[in-house]
Amino acid sequence: MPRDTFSPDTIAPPFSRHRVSKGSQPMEDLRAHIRALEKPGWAAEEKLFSLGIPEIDRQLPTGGFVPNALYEVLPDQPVDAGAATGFCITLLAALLKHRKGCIFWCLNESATDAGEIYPPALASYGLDPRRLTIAKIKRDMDVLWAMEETLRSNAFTAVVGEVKEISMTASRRLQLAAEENEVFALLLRPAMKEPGLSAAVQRWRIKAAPSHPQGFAVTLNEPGSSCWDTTLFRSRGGTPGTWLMEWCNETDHLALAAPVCDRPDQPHKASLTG
Amino acid sequence: MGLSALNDAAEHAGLKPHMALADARAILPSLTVHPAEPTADGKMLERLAQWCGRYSPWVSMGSIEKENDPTLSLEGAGGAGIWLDATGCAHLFGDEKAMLADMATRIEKLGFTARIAMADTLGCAWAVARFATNDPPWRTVPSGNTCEALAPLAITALRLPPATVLALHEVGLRYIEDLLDMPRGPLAARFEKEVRLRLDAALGKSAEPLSPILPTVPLVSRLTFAEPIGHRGDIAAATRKLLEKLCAILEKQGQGARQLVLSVYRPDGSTARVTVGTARSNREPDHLLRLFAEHLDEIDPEFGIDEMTLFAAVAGPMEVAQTSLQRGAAIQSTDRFNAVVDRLTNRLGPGSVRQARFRESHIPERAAGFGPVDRKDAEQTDQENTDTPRPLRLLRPPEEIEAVAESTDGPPLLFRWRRVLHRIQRCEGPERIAPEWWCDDNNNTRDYYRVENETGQRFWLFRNSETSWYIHGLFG
Repeated sequence: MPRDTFSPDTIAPPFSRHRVSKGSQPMEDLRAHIRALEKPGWAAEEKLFSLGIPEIDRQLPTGGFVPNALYEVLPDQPVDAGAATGFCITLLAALLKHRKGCIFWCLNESATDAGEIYPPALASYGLDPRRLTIAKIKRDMDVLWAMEETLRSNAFTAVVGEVKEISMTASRRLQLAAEENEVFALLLRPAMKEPGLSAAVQRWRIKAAPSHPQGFAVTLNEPGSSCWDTTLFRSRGGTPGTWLMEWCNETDHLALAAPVCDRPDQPHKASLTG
Repeated sequence: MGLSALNDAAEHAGLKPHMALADARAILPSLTVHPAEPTADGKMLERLAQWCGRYSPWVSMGSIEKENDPTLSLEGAGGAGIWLDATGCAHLFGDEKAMLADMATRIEKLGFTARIAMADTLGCAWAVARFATNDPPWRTVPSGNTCEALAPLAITALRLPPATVLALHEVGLRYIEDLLDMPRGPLAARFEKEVRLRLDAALGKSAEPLSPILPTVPLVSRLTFAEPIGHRGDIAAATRKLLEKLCAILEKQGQGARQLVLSVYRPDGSTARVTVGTARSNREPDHLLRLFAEHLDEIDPEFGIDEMTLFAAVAGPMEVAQTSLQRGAAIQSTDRFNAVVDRLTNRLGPGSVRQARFRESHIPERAAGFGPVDRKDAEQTDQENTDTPRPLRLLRPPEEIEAVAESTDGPPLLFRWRRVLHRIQRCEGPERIAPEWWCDDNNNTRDYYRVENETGQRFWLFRNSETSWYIHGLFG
């Protein structure tokens, strides 16, 4: 378009009608409109799901987890693969809590190198192992193909792929496929310093944290519930954040854990004896 | 109540099929009677016909008579037999006589009395088997001797209804030779068309087709091209046509394909083939074409393809409706699920798509795992029976580690896995898992410990009876 034909009318803001409003109303309307513009079209309010932690939901631009988008989870260190898998499972369990459907999981030995999913443990993270279909795949290329195929098949509610290397284009393809077919897509990647660019709407880095045993476990010095130091280091349209989460096995939900404080392991004898 | 079939002794006493039971008892008071079971007889005959497939692929049950005359039973001279088209089969047994002798011996071993004849025409073989064999119970009519073989036989040997036979007898025609020289016109005018048809068929003057019970070309479709084709698009279109034809055949038989073989033939005589499999019986051309689409590139047309065949190597009955693939919570569109499983399986290899399986076992790697979607394990159970914590990721096989323990049977203090040293902060155990002595000879008792290191990672370690340490899994 030549510069001289650039008239203000052609770019009249769509909210020009708000000019007639008075007082604080126009500002509110404007904010609402901008929110609507910023909020991606794929985030329908009623479809959102939550990990059960309001603090996280508040920080997300959509006010909850979007079920039809690509997510990415990375362990901080290779030994954190278990923790990262646990976080993936809780995400999937939260997604499937209120809807039927199955999960497709591409296991990739070459990517994770931390063994395969063990079905009996899934139930303790709130996921029925019978809803899981897996494929053992050797190459990243085949994982990406299988993910796209299953995303477009409409046979699954969630698709998980263990991938080592993924290009921006490939992740964009997966994101589009997830968005179009309303499927939850999740990439579980091995620990790496530079994970590269990705089109995932959220990227999480998971690190295991020392657990807080309770009751008898303290005296016996047994491990407590799983604790994860989670970092949302990229969130499309939102702000990053760090949370310390604890998976509560008894109540089947995820909660924010209080950081460990330093205190003597025994009360002062002096105070007892006077 | 009448007699349906007789043994030799009863026949010698003068009893005949279709005779009233009261009459028969009057003639032979010591007669032993068993109820006739035509359905069971038919089934037995069918099994015997299938057994005869060892001699010739072209086997048929002689049910022609039954259609014409429902009063005829399976046994007796007018009854059904088994037809074999033995063209080109006899040399496999030496010669024709050796083949018939072999057949007679074997059928006798099965507990039946058989009379066997081999002739140029079905009619002649039928007549000779029933009216001109006695000892040995088989006979071959040399090629071209049909007329001579038939001539001395009674008119009944022409597979005619009893009424026609009676009418022929009335005018003094008792043997086939009486009919041979008669002009066909008056014969057909006087008696029913049947006489002429049967006679001509027996003499080989008219054709009598034989339909085998087993289709020899099952579930195959074929396409021949006037000009060799070479474009990928053409091959895809031809495959589609073949699939449509094959699916129509499958639909007629109520079957679905489990495995399909597409063969292409090149003018120079070389061939190429592509095989695809499906998780469940399927006869949807669109779906099957998508399975082939992956593999059509593997076909190198070279200088062109002049013929293509599609063969359903494995077919199974169609499962019309299926409510749920897995028991439990999972409810999914099985059609879409099967479709995607097929596509994945065809690219990633058979058995690569799996679902969780549980077995009655305490050994962790045996108790649970993943098995192919389409095959169910015999010993699998529906439930996992563990209340004790299990790792989220299991290392198969367990990896040996260096570990330091408090004592030879105490909990570990620190260990080194993949060159990283982990100091154990918290530890739970041991959980002792004894070996399953009844199914393997590895009699190593394992003491499992759930440990957490100082940075919070949780591992599943075990020490076997030889006090070597292994890591078996990672907790979440």
